[in-house]
Amino acid sequence: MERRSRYGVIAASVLIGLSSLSPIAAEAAVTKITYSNWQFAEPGRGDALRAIVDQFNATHSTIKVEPVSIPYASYATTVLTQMGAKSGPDVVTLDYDVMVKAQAAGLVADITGKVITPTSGFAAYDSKFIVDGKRYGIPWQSTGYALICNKALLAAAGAKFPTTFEEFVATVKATTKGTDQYGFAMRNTTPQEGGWWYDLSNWTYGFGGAWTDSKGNPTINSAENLKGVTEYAKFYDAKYIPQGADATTYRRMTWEGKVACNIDNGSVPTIFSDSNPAIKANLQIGKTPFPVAKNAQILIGTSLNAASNKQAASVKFLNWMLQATMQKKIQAAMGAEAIATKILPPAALLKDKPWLKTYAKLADNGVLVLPAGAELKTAEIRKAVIAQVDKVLRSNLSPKDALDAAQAEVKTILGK
Amino acid sequence: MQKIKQRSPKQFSRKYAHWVLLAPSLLFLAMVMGYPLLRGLQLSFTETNSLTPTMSKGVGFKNYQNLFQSPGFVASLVVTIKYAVSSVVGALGLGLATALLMNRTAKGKYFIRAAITLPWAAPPIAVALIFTWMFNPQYGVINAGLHALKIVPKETHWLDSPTLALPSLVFVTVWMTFPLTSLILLAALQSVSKELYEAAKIDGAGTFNLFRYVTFPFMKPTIYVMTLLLSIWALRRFDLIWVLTQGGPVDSTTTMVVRLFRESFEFGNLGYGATIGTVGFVLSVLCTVFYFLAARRVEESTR
Amino acid sequence: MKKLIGKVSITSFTILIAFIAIFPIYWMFTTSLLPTSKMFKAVPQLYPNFGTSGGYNNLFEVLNLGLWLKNTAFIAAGCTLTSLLMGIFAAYAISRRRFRAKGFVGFIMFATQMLPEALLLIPLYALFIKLGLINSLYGLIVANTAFVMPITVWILKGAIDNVPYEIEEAATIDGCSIFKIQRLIIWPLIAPSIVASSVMAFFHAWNEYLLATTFILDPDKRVASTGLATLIGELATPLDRVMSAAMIYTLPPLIFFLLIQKRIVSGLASGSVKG
Repeated sequence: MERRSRYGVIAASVLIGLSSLSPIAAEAAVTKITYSNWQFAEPGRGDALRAIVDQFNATHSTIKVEPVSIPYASYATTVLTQMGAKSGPDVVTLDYDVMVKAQAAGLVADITGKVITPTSGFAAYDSKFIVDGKRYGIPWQSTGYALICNKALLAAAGAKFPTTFEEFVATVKATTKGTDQYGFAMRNTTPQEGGWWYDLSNWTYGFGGAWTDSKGNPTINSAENLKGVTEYAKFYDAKYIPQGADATTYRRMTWEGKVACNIDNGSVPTIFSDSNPAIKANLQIGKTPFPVAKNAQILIGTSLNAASNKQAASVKFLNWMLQATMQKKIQAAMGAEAIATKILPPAALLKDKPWLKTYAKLADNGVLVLPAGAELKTAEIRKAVIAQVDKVLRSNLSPKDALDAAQAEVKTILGK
Repeated sequence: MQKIKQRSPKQFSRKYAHWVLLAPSLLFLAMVMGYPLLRGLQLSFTETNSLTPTMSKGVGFKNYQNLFQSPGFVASLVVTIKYAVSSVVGALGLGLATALLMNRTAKGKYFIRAAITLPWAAPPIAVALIFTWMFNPQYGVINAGLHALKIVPKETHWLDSPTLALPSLVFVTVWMTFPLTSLILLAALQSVSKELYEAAKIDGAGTFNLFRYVTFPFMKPTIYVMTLLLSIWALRRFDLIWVLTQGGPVDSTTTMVVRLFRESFEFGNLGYGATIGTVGFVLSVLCTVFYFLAARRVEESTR
Repeated sequence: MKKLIGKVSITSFTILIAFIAIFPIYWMFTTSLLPTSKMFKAVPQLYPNFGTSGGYNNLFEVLNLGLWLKNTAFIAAGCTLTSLLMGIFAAYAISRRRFRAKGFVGFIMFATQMLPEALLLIPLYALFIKLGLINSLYGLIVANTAFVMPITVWILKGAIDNVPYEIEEAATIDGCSIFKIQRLIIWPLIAPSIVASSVMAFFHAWNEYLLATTFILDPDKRVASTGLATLIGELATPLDRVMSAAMIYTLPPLIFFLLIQKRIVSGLASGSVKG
């Protein structure tokens, strides 16, 4: 009997223990806030960003910021699911299209009037974070796309840095040498759908296309988009690019001198030169080599989780980051040409990362990759288009049929 | 005599002791699996967005109607069945061959045993990482090796080819699951009685007939159990597929679980996602019922 | 002659199987010790660069690997303990007791194996928020236990089935309680199966990815599987580093399974052979 009850007690206590074990909330004088950003997961920049958070923690005794790093590929999915369930990080950095979705669902907090306008003034795209007169976030960073080439490889092949599309084709062709060296690289695989969408948009934008017209009607199969996709597919078929390689792989290849050119955003040259300092001197960067001066633009903002009960502390953190001194630091750490405020990259940074000037100059060419007027359905439209382009590359579907099919699908998605 | 009819507390507890013993595990399962399952079923009759899960609205059988009409669903069902059947057959075939081999060689047995522990023990995420690199079309060691042996052309695409992605995935799956299968089959093999074997040998049975009439009937129940387990695992597998292909290219590896995940978490359609999950669950149950029926038939025939 | 052919074919088949089984892990090791500059070759270097520390150099400083492994081990140990504690009693009841709902209970245990985790994920997530189990290692123990415990029950039930009832009968007549019988008679006899199911439970939790990636947010509580997955970034982590981390993550189960493989198999087999 005694033994029996003893085992009973053990079993029962395990159960009770399991169901009541809640994390002990540290309700001390210190408010802990979590701050999620996929850039924490990046080599180099992740540490730099962590150092900024550390600096905040060192100078604040009552607030402690904890970095949350989720890799980019699963970032939006994870954070949105958590926020939808009324949990998740207190402060979230989001891609603009994700921010728009979260805002429409009421997941990001209204912080109107709580943000102190920085002395240097907000950057122009700050207006994107204000919906119906209410502020739902602050800009974190913005960057466009440019052509990045390895001068040494171009010279060895007798090719020049291309400014027109014809030159681009010639250069890429000349620098492609089977698996020993590729003229170009771009995303082309399903697990990288998000980045693929940016890459593809550069091509369609570059030939004058757009995903929707001014009224929000889909224009997926427009002649301009068709031209962009056709040329994109030609690059793939000609094996000017390492087919099937993901961005991680081809970026490694690039800094090892195995790829001549990339079209990528302003943070990528930093990654190349951080990973292999020897390549820095060889980087030549200029406008994307397409007929129309239009390229994809990344806009990233930071918002507060509407479900968080630590808004006050979180706002303090935002305002701290908006100070001119911190903005300069963030700019240097992130290697970004454009951040929340109008601050221009300081001379020292420009000397270290001269490409930032180029990217800043190209800022006016940037177009967001959200289909205008259908922003909330970006993910669905992206999936529909990418799935068809995937078939163009791999199942011999003609670009025309693919874009027609995508157009029909997008029409269904938008109920038009 | 009369005393026995009277129920003492001790007898009472004896009589219901199994419920006392089962209570912790059953209550636990009811809470962590039963309740979520019911909620999941309920979700499948609603339109619920992951961004606003509290604003869910009932839509009856609409999700099921949409699901069965969607060509994407049929495609993913086909992929799932192809994946499950080929990975089960592969694991059983290679597992059985390995088990028979281990049974034949005394020296080789320990060597193989140690070797096949590697794929069995390796975590799926680590496996996915290394296979991604091995399957790389330009610099992967698989292409280098097979090309050197003149089996495949240079720069063959595996995980990014609509025709070869699924076979590649099956290969990795079989690689991970055949060791356990073979070890369990070996255990069954070794329980075949020696006398029976000798008797058949004296009767002049050849190697093949020995296997067919003596070994195989003995191992049948184990093979059945392994078939069932391997099928259920295949129907459920997620991590490996997600890290290797995420369902691509051109949806050639989009199994039902991948579809469920994309629908629920990428597009936020929790209701529709739950519908896919429910259908998948029903499929697994059907598999199991089929198994039990088949197992009963075997049991009856061997008796 | 025929014997020789048989011997040769057996030996070559043995080598082939071993090669297929070992090579990917060998390749993981090779890649972990290869500088990135040597990776992009059409004909890959087949041996590691010994004498360098490759991706292992400063690995624990660069990645939070130590912490990830510690968390993973904690979850795995917790999951093993709870699975065993609950599973062993359930297994005994199902194996030994006769009651009407037995078939149904057995079915329930089995049915848990058919549930896709992804279907349960959302409701479980909502439930865990209410219970305060989100972002908690205990939450992962609970979730993993639900998936692992039925396997424990299944293995242990098979083992108990093999213990002759007569041994127990004598003790029952002596007036021992059910719990005492289990502790004194059953448990020692099925010890190998207990070890087997513990190892299975431990490494199921060790390997688990989907639940961990959804329920854990705090980087301080990240486990190894999700931590490794963070290295498949959009940007770039050197591959030798990724493979070094993968290697270290793979070693514990490898060593453990090698050491007590025989016990696991006999435990599993006694469960599965009987069905």
